[in-house]
Amino acid sequence: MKRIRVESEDDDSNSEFAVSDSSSHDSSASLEYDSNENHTGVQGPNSNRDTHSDSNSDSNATRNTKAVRKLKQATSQHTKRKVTVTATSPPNSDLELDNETLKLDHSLRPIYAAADGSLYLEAFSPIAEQAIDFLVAEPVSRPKLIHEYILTEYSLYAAVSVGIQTESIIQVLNKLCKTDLPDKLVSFIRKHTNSYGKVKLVLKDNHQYVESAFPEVLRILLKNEVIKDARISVAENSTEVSNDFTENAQNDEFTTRFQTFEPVTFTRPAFVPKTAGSASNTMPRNIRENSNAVAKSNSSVAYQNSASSTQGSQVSKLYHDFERDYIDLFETENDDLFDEMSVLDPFENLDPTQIEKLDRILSGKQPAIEFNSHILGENSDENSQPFVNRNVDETRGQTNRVQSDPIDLAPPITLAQLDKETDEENSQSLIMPQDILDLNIAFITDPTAARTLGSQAAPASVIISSFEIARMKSEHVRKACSAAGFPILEEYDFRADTTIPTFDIALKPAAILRPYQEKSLNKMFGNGRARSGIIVLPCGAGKTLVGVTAACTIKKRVLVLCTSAVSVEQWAREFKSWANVKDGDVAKFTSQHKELVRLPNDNGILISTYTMVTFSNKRAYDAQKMMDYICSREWGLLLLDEVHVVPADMFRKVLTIVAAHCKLGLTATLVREDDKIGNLNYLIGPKLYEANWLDLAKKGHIANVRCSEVWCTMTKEFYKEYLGQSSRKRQLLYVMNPNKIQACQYLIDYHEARGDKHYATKLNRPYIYGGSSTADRLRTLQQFKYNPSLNTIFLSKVGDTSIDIPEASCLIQISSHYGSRRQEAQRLGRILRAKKNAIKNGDYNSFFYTLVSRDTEEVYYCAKRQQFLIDQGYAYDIITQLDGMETVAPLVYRSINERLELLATILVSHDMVVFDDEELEDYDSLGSSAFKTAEFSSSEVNKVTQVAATMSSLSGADNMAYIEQTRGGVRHRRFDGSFKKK
Amino acid sequence: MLCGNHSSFGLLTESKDKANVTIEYLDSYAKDAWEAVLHYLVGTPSNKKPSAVMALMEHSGLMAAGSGSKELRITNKGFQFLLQDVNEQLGSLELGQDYSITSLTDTQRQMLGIFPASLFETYLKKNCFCSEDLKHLGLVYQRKSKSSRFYPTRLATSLTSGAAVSGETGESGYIIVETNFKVYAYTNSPLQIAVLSLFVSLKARFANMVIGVLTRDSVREAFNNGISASQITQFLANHAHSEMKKVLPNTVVDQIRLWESERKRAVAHASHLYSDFGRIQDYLEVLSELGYVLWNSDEKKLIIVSPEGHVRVREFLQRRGK
Repeated sequence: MKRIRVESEDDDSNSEFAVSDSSSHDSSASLEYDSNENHTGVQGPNSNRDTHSDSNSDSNATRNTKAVRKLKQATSQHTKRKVTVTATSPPNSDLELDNETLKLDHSLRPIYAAADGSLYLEAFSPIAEQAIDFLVAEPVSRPKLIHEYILTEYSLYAAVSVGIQTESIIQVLNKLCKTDLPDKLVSFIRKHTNSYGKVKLVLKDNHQYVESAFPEVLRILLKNEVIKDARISVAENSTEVSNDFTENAQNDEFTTRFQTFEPVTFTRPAFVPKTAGSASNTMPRNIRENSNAVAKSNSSVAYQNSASSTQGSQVSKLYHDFERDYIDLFETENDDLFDEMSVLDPFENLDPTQIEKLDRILSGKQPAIEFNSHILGENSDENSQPFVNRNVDETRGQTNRVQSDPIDLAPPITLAQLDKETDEENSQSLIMPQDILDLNIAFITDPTAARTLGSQAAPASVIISSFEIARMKSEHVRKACSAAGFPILEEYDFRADTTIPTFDIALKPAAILRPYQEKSLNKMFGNGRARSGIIVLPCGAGKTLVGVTAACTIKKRVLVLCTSAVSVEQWAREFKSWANVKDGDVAKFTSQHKELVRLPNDNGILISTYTMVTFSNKRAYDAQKMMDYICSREWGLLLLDEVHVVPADMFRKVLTIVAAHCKLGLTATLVREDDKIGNLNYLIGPKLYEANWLDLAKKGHIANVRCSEVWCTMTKEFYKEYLGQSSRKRQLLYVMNPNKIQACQYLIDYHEARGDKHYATKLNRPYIYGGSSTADRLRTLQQFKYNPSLNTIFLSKVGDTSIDIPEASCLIQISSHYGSRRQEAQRLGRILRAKKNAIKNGDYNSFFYTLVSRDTEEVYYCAKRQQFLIDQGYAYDIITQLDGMETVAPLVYRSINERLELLATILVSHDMVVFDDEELEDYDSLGSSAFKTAEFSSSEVNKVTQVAATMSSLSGADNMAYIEQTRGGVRHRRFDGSFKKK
Repeated sequence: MLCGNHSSFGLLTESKDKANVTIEYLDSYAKDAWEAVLHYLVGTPSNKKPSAVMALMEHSGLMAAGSGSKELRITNKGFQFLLQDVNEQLGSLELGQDYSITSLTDTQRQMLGIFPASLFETYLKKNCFCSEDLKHLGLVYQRKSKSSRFYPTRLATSLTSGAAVSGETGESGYIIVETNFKVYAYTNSPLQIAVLSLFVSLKARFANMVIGVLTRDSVREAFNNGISASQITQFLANHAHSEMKKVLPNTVVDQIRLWESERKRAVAHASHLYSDFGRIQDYLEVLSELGYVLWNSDEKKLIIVSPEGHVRVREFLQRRGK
């Protein structure tokens, strides 16, 4: 405590060191507090009915007090300066009051920001949507009215990598916030963004280069042993220096080159954003010349600059490319905008001192960009006429302070483009604070705006320094850079790349991207290059189409990796239905299709599974050939489906095997019970986009699901047995609870009567489990799709991910994998695809039931599992009693004798398979279940049937066990099988 | 004290007060006074705790002296009281037998009820119906302690007329409850925060909002204080933010109800445990011969019998002992 007091005194005296010190202290304290909050969040609402979490809640309690103590310590220094009005009697009232001065118009601003990085957003605010688009924070929970976000290092990393800059983040957040941003938060953002986005990893001619616009950064990095070790010095490779690279005389200097930007348009014409009403592409001649002049003057600046800053570097043919790009750029612009932009020659007024300044900027020493603010100033003067811009001065002042990464010179705010939007808002007579009106969030985040941005940013051609690293060591380099505080961005300038032949592929006109799909792609291609990263969309929201569109945009060789042979088929189908590919262009590499498929012209789309690619044992001859083929090629795009399921080790392997320029990960659920998610950030890239489930459901893009939790009491006999059994048997017992089976039967009858298609696991219906072959699976799914008399199928764990059953609208979850939040979400995902009868006065059109045996461990797990979906805004109804269940005839297991018989069988059979089960248990450690699914499908395609047998005998088949039992004659066949094996 | 005749109630005055006492002023006076009362209840320290009010609290059963200290502490009834709205609170506040609402005559009610509708420029004569208590409660306003003019406030009139205290409660809904059990309350009133913290575990606080979460523990705490599930949900619904459209998420309502009902799952019955049987035969005989065994363990030689059985077993063992 004493130490803290001292710090707080320092704090007052404004010593910078002390400030940062105390803030780090605070953040650690609040972090602890926060984790506690999360913990109780998980525990809180639902753990409740759990009878087994006693130990858990104990530890929770101790942690609680610890956290509270810490919090008090942290707050103690504030109490000196702030008068907090609190009621004393309740224990919680001594909470920190974060920022007591509200802005006068606070009610119009949607965000509360806490010093620990938590952001609370009023989703009902009229500008919420824009704010959400901008928010650079990790969503914590997104129910209907108030969303919670948290600013983390990763989220800031992601923001920077999509081109948002430090000052824009701070400025915009500040405007959206009801109070002034807490200082601690501002310094947190500064601290973590300033070093981000400065280093990029580029793959060129199968060589990897680390490049940066800041040579110092590279020098810093090279002090790191790991990176130094990985470096391949230029001299050794002088023969392989490409056009843009210039050999450098000195060994420790870097290769340098220029980099320019051009905006990207997605292949489909309809994609071109409707910026302003009049979009004419013909450009007056004089303006064209004018823009030429701009380009010229600019590159000459760059040239001078380069000459002065990096000696010995040559400027190659870049000038002409640049000019061409620049004009291209303007040709896609609309006239209004163009007029305003182009008449200003940003470099007209540059005097030598400013050039000098620019020089310093480019060498990273001087962050300010005054020439830019100069443009901005004039611009805003001109453009602000439709509305009174009281903040021009302020804006300008702020821009002057902008610490800008020259790579993405983005004047933060106030743009002509905004006019329309603002007018709309005005006409809606919304009274919003002026500075929010001026704030074009879309401009900062949306690449449509980035195109406009390009027109201003383009003049700033940048000198990029780089050095080459050994490809095999790239992962170490990536890790080392992250550790050094310079996380690496990966970008692929696919249009400039001539080494990989262009693959002519385009979206069919029928393929219509939904707004959120567009948005996510915009984040990926925001600056005209393809960024590596992860896009998170709910199941059924059209991840595949996003992947296909990305492929159509990059137009290079594509390698798609997915989790199972079934989804390989699905991807192939999707590619054919959305894009204009010929049959031969799409090749599959699975255990059934392992013949060496040479893509025509060595080009096209190859689809495979993770396990197929990473299989480490001896391969069949064909497969080996195929692998050699994959390894020897450079891929334009590596699409990683269901990226969450694959643990880091597997990825590592994939990434060392496959040389890909751009990696795009797709997933619905970026949660794992283990901590392997963090790895994805440096293995693949930052999370580029995450959609809001509830929002999509509201707009009808995914089904509106009603989630229910059905409580089934354990029958007396079962519960008695349950209490005395080991945990594995317990699991079987609560899964096999006869009441559960009855409830399931009841629900199936109920929904079949309603005409819902089912997707569940029981009772005389076809089923798919680990042992079914891919062909069987596809056949069953087809049947389900088209056969009107087949309305229910049963799936074991293998059905959790990637199985696309658009028709399914009702899912009954009978058994589940402990507390895996991901499995829950993925299972829900099976029924999320938008239904044809969707959006009928907001009714639910899909149903998700979880059957839970009361008073068992299952209740606890169930509560844990639901947390992810609850955070997404889903609510679980609790059904304690199914009405009319008694009267529905004829339920199975009505007589006590039947039940006892079942019980006996379970106990006996389970004894026999307990060994197998143990294996599974290990195999199936918490959190990697879906991985197993992947592994599983491949092992069976690799004709390893042994695993399938053990699987079916229990765990993968806890659902299975059901099916057998309810089939009368063949009851327990599976178990009999394992007897024989013994 | 109240003897039921007309004059005991005070008289209307026709003359104008020098100071202009407006209805708005009376409203805010009443509100402040009432909040102060509630603050006493939740235990906010303040300089003055009028003994009259404290006595009233104790009398109404809202507060009681804790064991070992003279300090008055809030009771279960007091907790419930806090969650009620002003009208209910007024109704359940026992103004003492003497002032109890029921003991007012119709005429008196009528009078109190009529005043606000017509004029507030009324006074009640000292030493009659009014007392210091009513003043502290905010039911009446007296400009100076010696003044003979008394102004009944809306609180008083609603008390007597049964009309809801509308407008006076002022704050429209301020609580948002989400399906993830988070509670966001737009308030900076220490009183409201204190009341919320009765059943919400508060997490963070901003200038005009507090954030908390309904947890099993926090709600159970409330149950232990005698607050019922329906009181909680009622309170949340009554103060629901306009964006909630007065509807609480079903999940939350159900869950709170379930949390309450889970407390009632186990029912305690008296019974007797026998252990340490001297001889195995005794154990077996008790087990076999008597029909009152509720539970037994062969391993540990334990038997639990019903109270009726207890008498028999005791006799049996005593016989054996001899």
